[in-house]
Amino acid sequence: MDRSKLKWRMLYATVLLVLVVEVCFFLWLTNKFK
Amino acid sequence: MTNLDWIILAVTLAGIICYGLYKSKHSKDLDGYFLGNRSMPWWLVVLSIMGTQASAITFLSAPGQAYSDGMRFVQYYFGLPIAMVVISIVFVPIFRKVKVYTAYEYLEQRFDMKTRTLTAFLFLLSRGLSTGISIYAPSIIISSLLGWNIYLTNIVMGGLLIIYTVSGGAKAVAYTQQLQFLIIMAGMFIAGYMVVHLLPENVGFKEALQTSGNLGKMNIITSGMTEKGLNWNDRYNMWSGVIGGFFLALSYFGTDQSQVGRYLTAKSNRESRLGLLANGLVKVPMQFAILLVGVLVFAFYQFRSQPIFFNQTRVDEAKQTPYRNSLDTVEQNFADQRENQQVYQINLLKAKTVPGAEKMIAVYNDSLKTGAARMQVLKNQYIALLNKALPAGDKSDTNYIFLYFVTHNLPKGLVGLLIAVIILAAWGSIAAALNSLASCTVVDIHRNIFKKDCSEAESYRLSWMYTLGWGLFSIFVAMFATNMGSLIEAVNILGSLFYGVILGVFLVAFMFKNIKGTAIFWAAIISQLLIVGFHLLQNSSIYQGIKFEFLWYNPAGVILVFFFSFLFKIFSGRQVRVAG
Repeated sequence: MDRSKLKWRMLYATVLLVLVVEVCFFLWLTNKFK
Repeated sequence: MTNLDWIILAVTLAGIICYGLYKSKHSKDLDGYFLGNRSMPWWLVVLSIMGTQASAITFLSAPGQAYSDGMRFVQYYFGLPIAMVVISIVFVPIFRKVKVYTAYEYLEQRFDMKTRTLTAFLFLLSRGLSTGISIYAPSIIISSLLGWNIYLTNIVMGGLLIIYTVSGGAKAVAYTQQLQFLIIMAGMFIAGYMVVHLLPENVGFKEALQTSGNLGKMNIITSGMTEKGLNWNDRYNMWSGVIGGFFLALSYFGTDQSQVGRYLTAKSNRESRLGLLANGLVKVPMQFAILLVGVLVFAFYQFRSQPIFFNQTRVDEAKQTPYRNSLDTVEQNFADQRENQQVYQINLLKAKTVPGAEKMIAVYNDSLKTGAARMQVLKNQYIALLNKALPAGDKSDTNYIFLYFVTHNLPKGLVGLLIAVIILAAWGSIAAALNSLASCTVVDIHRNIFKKDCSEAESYRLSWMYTLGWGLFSIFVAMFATNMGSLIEAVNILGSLFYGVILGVFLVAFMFKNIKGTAIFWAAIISQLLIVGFHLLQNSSIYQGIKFEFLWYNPAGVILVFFFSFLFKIFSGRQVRVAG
């Protein structure tokens, strides 16, 4: 796979990973301040 | 508002408008007017994309939404980053490859003229209506501050907006949005800091969240599940947020000209994609922060006196009627209950510092919840009285909560800046929406239907005229927006009625090459009628079946378009075979 394609894929994965981390953080907040 | 606030308000507004007009001085041809000469770097695209979404409604209504309904609204944005990735991979290369002015131009190349015109018409209808609601938002501020009649304010605000939009271009909108957006974020950050700063001495950020959490406002993640499975009538939960929100964001960012126009202005595919992905990264935390301000304001009013109804202009008007005494009685009961609540809150915080006081904490928690329920009953009684006294006008106070907090509690000068910022946010997003409405009308409707060939100069004149026309239409719609409750919800409900079908048409265009114009045209019409018909039916008293909240309309629209387009394809295929 060429470098440019790999860079873009990593960027897409980062956006989705950040979303997962945010949801986990929100879940923790919801339980903490019930 | 003090004189200092008025001066800051006027200087900020005038400064931004002059800056926008100066920047857009050389934008005279159509490419410049609509696409900003395709010369924008990615960071300007992202500010432009975010500024287009972040209207006054976001800053005015979202904190009120969190105050009334808690943080769960943030789940609605969970589908957005996923949609940004899909749009970057699929939509951007297609739109930029065919070098179109509007997204619907592509549909003529792929299907036919009638499908393009229908989809453009659906966009114009939904966007025109929601732009009208957007005009109503800054009007709320001005009418509250000046005590003006809301209808008169709509006309004045709308008129100024039209002048601002027709005298600039897409570039002016984008350049001012860049500046506006930075001021807006700074303003919201200061407002958030001030709420915490104004809390009582022994109440910090953590205690404020605990106080709001005790009364159910920190409901950030909700499953929406009941014993019988998923509750489709639950407005915001994890599933409606991820699935419904994904389809809504895919449609809004991938097919709505007001957004597609933003990233068509980028220099290259790379710039468009980076702009969208940056939006996907920033949007959820940004909305979380704005909603958190609302939850902090809620905590603030647990320790300070809060009005029973935040729209003071409406209360003052109602007190001129024979209902004055009844209103005063309910107000007094509410004030008594509120004082009890404040005592419970303070005792609860004290009990939490004492080891082994779990029983006391449970008792105070129960008392607080019962008290909050009583206060809600009193508020409902009060609203019913207000509605009897004044049958017309805004029946909900959600949109007024943050405004009330700002004008009554923030320091001099900051109030003027925040209000300027909210008005600018409205202008930025409405100017962008009017631009996209005009560009879509000229390119997709006027040029195709009335006159095939028109010169660049004529197109420029036409776009100017249509911007004016859509501005007037929006003012007209704003006159009917007084009864829609939370504006941030109203805009999204309205969008969801149309977005699923529009997205369905584009997805069929991308994915199923064997489906042609006539099949998709009729599939879109029938699906649209079914969605609008179902919405009206389930809101009527005769409907007894399962209810679906608005976010589900988005995937439903796509599924219906897929289903009917395949059905018509099979049907028309048979006809051809029989005829042959």
